[in-house]
Amino acid sequence: SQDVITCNGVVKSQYSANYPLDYSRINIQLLTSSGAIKETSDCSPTNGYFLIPVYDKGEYVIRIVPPTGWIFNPSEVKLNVDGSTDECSRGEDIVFSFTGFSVTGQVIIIGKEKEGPSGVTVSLLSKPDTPIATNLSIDGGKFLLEGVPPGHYVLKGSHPFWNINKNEVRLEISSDSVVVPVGSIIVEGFDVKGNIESNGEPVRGVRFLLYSETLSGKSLCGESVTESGDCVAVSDASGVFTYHSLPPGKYKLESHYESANSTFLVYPESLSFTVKNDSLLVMPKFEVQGFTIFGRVLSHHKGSGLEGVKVDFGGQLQAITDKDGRYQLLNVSAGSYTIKIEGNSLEFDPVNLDVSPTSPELPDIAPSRYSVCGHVTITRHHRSLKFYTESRNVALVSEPEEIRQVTSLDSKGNFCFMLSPGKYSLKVTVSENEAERGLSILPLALPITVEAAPISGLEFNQYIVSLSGSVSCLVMCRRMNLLIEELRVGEGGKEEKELSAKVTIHGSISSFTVEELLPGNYKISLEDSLQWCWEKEEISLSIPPTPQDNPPVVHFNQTGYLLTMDMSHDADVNIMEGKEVIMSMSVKKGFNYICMDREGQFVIVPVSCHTFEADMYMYMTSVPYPMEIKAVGHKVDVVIHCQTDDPILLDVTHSNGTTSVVSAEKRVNGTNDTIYYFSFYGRPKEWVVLCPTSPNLLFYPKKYNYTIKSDCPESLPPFECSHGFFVIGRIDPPLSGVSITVTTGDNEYNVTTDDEGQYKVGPLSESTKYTVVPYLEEYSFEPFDDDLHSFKAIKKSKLTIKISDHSTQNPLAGVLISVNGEGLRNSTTTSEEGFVAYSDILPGQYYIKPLLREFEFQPPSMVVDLKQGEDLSVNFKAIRVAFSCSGKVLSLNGSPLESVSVELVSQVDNEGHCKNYHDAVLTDKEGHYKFRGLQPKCQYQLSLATNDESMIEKGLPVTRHFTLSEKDIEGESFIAVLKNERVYVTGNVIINNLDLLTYITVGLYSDKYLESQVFSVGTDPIGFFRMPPLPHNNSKPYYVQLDSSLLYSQSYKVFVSNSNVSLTAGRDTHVTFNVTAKSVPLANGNSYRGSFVGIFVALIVIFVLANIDKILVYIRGSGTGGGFRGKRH
Amino acid sequence: MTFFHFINCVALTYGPLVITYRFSGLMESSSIWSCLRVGVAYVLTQLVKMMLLATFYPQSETDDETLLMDFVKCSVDVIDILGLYLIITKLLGKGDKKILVTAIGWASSEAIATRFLPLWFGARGTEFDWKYIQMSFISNFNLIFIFSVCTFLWLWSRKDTSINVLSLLGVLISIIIYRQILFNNLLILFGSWATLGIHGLAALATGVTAMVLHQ
Amino acid sequence: VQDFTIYRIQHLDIHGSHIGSRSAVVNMEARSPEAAMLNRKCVLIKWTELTSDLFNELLERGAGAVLIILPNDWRNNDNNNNTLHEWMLLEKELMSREISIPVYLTTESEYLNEVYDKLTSSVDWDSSAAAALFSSITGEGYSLIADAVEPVPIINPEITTIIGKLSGQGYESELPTVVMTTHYDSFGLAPGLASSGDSGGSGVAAILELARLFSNLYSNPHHKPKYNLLFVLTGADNFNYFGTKYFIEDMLEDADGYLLSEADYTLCLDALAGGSDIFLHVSRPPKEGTKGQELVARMNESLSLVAGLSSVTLNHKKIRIGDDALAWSHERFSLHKVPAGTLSHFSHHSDIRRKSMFHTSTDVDGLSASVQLIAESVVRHILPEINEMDNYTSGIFTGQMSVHTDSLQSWLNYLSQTGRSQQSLLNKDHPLLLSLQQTLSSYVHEVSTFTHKPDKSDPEFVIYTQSVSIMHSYSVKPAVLDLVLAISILLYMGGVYLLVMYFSNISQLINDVKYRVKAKRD
Repeated sequence: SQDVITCNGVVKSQYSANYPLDYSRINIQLLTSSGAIKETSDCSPTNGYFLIPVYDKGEYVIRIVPPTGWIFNPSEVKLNVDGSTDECSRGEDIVFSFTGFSVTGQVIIIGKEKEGPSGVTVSLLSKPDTPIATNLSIDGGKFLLEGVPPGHYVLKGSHPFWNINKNEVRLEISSDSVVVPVGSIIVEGFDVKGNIESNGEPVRGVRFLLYSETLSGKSLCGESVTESGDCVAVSDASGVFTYHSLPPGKYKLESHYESANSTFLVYPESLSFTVKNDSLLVMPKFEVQGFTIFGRVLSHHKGSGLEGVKVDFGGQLQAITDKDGRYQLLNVSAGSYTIKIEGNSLEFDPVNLDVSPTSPELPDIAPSRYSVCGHVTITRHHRSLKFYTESRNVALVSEPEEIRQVTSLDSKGNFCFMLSPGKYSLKVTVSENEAERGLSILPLALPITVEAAPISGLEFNQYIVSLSGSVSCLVMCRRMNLLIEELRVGEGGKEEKELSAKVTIHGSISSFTVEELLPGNYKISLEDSLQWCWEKEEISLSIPPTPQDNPPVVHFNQTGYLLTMDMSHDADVNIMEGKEVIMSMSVKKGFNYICMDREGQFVIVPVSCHTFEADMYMYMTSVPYPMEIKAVGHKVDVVIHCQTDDPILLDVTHSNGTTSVVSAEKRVNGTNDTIYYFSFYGRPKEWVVLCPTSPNLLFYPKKYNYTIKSDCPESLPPFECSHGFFVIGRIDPPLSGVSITVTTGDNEYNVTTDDEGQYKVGPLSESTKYTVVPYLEEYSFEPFDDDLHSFKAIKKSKLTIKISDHSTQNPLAGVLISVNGEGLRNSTTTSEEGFVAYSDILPGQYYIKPLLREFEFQPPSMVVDLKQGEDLSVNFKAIRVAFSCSGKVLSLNGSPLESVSVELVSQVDNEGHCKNYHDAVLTDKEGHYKFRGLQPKCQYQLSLATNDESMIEKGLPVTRHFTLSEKDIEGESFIAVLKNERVYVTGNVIINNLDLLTYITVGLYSDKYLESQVFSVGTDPIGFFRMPPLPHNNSKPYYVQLDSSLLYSQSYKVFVSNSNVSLTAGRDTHVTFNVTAKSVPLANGNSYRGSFVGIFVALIVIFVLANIDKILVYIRGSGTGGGFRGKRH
Repeated sequence: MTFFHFINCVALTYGPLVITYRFSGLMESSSIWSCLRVGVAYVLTQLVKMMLLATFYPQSETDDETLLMDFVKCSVDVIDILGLYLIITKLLGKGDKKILVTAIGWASSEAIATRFLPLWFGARGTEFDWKYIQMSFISNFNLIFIFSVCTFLWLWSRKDTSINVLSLLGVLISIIIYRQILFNNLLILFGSWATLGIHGLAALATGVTAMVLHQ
Repeated sequence: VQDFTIYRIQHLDIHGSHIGSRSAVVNMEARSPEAAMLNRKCVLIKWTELTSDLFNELLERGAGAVLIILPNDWRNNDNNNNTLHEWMLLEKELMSREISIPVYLTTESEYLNEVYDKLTSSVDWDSSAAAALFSSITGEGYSLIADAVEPVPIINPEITTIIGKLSGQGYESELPTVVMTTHYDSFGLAPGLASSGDSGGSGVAAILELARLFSNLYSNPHHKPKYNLLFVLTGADNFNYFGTKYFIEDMLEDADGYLLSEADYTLCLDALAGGSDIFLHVSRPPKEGTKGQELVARMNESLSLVAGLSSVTLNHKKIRIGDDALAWSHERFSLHKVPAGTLSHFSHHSDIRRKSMFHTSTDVDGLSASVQLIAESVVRHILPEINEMDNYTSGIFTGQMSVHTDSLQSWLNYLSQTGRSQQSLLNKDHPLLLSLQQTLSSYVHEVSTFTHKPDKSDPEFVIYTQSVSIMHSYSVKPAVLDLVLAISILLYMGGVYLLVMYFSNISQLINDVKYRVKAKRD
């Protein structure tokens, strides 16, 4: 086919000028996209032109195949030959330009022909040393440099660490790749490194010796060989040592490390290794396991060494210092240690040190603290402090920095402190409680200074005191005891006494001493004062906690003999010896103590307002019993001031009923006042009534009752007298028998005038206000203007008013007569006799008006002028103008009915005389009613009110008529039939099957919507039912509903006629319900829905069973086909 | 009605059976035992039928029997046919007497089972009703039907009958099976006595065909 | 087979005479009256066609039993009076003599009509002999069987009397009493059906209404009179008022016997629902000045207050000691010297309607008027104050306290529907008796009941069982039909025999025919 597409191109080389490229050795291949070679063609040797035919379109790759090492760019071209767009179809040239040849070769190791190390950088340098291409040798030492344009080059191999001796070779690339002859680059030796540590810290200066099986000396390690021919390497600061150029082979390494004074143990001692064709890091690392360290322990910084001190580095590393205080530890591995040092009575702080071989010598260690010990002796404890001793402790304060430390005593009372050098002050702590109880320990504060050595033997001891004293008596001291009590403030702050010692003394020499008293407050007292007087009965003493110059001394002196008197009341007392009164004093109620300075017999005479059981009391100092002086009676003084000479007596009535009259003891008449003095004696707790009397004197207060206190009473309030004041007056005209009543304040005097009409009332106390009221029948009294006590008598006048009935001439009762005038306004009704009388009314004009319903009076009213004392009688005539009608309302059984309203209506008659009149009246309790003021000669109609509110159903008779004549009408009575409070709702249920009645109930509801059910009743066996009585509340509608559980049951269909009936209350109602209930046959629910299919299947099955043999035959002979009936036997 | 009426009905029902048995020559060949065996088979088949009806037959919601229900009920009678078929082919061994024996055995046991109790309770009651007499006639006709069914089945079981004969037999057998539906509907249409007449004719017809086919 | 309920006519021995049908067992064939042979047959006859001489004729012809079919609406065909009267005469006739054969009543029904028509139509003399023969053989026959056993006298029947007492104000024993009684049982040809609303029912309704009226009155302390009231419901009054006799005997023996013995007056309420003329029957006019006379006088005066009543006439009839049957119930009281009278709208005691079950009409207005009359007269009697105040200008029981007609109406309706013969009310807990007690006790203060049994030795009356039972009718065929049948069956058997014998020839015959046919075809 002619449509072949040819691809043509050219191989070019930029160096073709001087180094022509042998094109013949280059082929061009055409590959499919999947890499299968379709065509290969060669290049024209001359100009490198090539041509490749492409027979069918598709994706192709054109690749140049030069001899090995020649590098072309690009090495292959992808084409999508489609006849139009690709280069071939367009006839463009495909150009492969030659970039350079390749140089290969191998770096070898000395002594080995084939093997070389990898990682050697090989670079090709053109003349002026500019690197054209560099590459690394791969394992086995081979290297490849590509794209090297032809020319003269120098190949150099180099390696940062390795020793490459022969490392340069000159090359000339002209027409082909060049293979560098073996042995041009030779690696003589590899570097070998190792490092040395001491637990993680690099160790400097450790010497390592290298031995080789084959080589030694200079050949082994070049210049670094020592004189002794050893190859030595020393570890640098980072603990690394290196041998620079070691040819491959087996070697052995040994380490030696001495320093001036410590030998180091390096682990491992020796290490063998082999060098292959790469640098080597000797593993494992070297460890400086142990080295010797040493140091010194001093007594103090500048002090001498401490011998025998144990230095502990932890674990088993321990050492004891020698007499010079030095210690040495062998085989210590580097690391940080805490050094603990124990010394007796010295204390060292633990020292943290980092130990390394480099610094074997440790710094000197001095103790930081020294022991300070001492002892506290406490001999005497207060009884209550027994259990406090153990927890005593000693406090210490450092001078300069006020640092406090506390330690407690051990059981024997010793204490120790570990103190760093410096000034301190020690103090034994005494709790406040103990101090109160007298514990004080001396010295209070003990200053010490700690320099370089422990201090011991400090002493504290307790301060106790001894007490002495004496007792001196007038004559001979009798046996007596001395109590020494310690005063202490108890917990609640109250004083507490506690007997700490008791001393008995007797005879004349009476001194005593008390040993071992603790500091504190004491009270020394005589147990029994023996009724003697002492200068001081008790002495209080306080012993300070710190020792004083003079010890405490106590003295008791007797001063006399004690006289004790138990007085029932205050009084004055004279004490006599023989006849002579040696002492007089006033004594208070209760015990009084008097000191007599000498022995003997004394007489005590009480002088006071009291009378005592005895007048004199004997007392002997030899029998020192207290004397009881009791008062039995008391004097009562009464004073009366009165400016009169009349004799005044005082009646005294005692509570026990006896009365006595006391006359004035003394009368002292002052300038304008004479004072009377009375006095008498009364027993305590008695009450008396004092009442001064004198013929015409008034005393204020009239009576005074006083209960005698059991002591001399303070002066009673004085009585005062006043000349009686008299009320005198007269009646004009003189009338005897007028009763005068004088009322003053609370009391009232009553006197009648004598026949001259005079009266005198008195004596009255002047100060009070009083009123005088004269009274005499039928008289009225007017006081004279000038003298209020005298009166003018005016005889009153009388007025009687009579009422008589005009028609019957007999008196009319119940008439209301109102009379007013002359200060009188009164209305009363006439009595049965028909008259009203006003007996004592003042003369003057009066207006009289009688009033009675249904009556008119002749004259209607009257004005009367009444003269003084006149007895006037007036009468009126009563004319009946209107009449009344009354009657009774009874219930059916004759009991009166109260508050039934009866209505009265008048018929208007033609003459117009009777006007339309309508009235209603309620009956009273007896069922009585009365209409008053009815016009006579008129027609009236009575009836009971039977509206809704009234409780009357109807009246019998319904109405009554009468015409009113000139007289009252009685007996218009009614029988009232009351409404029935109870309303009955009854009914019956007509049902076709009586047995269903049990399911039926009838409900009564008070609302249309049948929500609020009032009653629900069942029916009786034949269907009648009755509701309980309903309140008769005027026509509130009720609703009756029949409901039954049948309505909802499936088994019955129920039809109810008028099942909901509304009825108005107020009337008994009867409701009939018609119910027909038909029973509905229950559909038989469950039916077994078999299916016909089942039957056919069963038939078929049975059919098959039936002629099983035929079917078998049929089946067996299936091959031959044939009718259902199969072959015949 | 009376006891007398009961006697009549019984006679009418069981007389023909006894006569056919005695005078058709079966007496001598002591085939009483085979009759008994047939009776037992009859009872078994009835049991199966009852079981089948009880389990599968749908309880009807309402009482009226639809045609389909009847059809199914009668189709259960197929079992009778099978029973007979089995009896004929399996139970009895020899000769053509076995048709008669089966027929008589089957008919008599059916008569006893289905007829005796209704008669005892119905006919003896005071209430007189013609239906008892009719029942007795029907039981006679059944005898004939069964006899013809047996012959058909016997022909069926003989191999040499031609194909269309076979089909005829099939038709006849199915007619016999579903005769009850036919008569129920006739009852409604024509009334009891007419139906009884038709029933009789049908029985005779089948009997004749059976004899015709028998040779 | 058809069933229907049948009601036996009265079967009673009272004061020596035996009444009603004495036996009850029926097991015979039905015949129409015209049938030739009636011996030991049950004759079926319609009530409307029955006359007393026809009945006698049947008896003479030796009928085994008689079943009378009542028309459906027998209860409410009160309108045409003349037929009603005839029925009552017949009823009276049937009840007045002793009948040895069982006589039953039943209500008309479709089946019965059919049977009746068949029976009457089957005998048709002028048809041909053959037809007659044929029909005699195959004709329809009916056999009627009643499941009733030989009637037995009810041993110690309990007669229940219900007494309601309203005690007046004050000590009950010192207060006078007014007694009102009536009887709740009804009487008729067939005890099962007897439920006349007027003769028994109206009295009961009246007593209940009076109890209600006076309980309202007594409930208000102002109205409470100083009188006791007794409301008495007795049973068995249709048996010559023995119920009342038992009540009197029990009451007088009882602790509050004085209530009766010293009663002012005893009012016996008989039938009151039958018109606006009321009669007060008394044995002898109440003596002058006695309370009873006052009450009777008041009744006349109160007439003016009651609309709807035209007259109240006193009817005086002496008790004839001779004959046993008493006329009115008050005569029982008079025998015990208790002043009493019977109120009834019947003018004469022997009025046929009193003892007939056909007398079912009720006039509620007449009843309510007579109730109001009694109430007004009694209230004026027990509350004398009313007369002093008002001489009959207006009645007490008006307005809210008036008589409650619809309650009366519903009681009347109920009582006239349900059978209330004494035979069915022998049990104290009979629903009707319980309801009467409950209704009465809801009005009055105290209700007590006496149950009395006639003494076994010589009971005043004997009532028998089996008044209601069920009859079964079977259709049967004549015996000869069976004979014919037997013969035909024998023939048939012969035919079969022949058929079987010649069975082989027949089959041979059939084969020949077949071959011939086959031959012809080939």
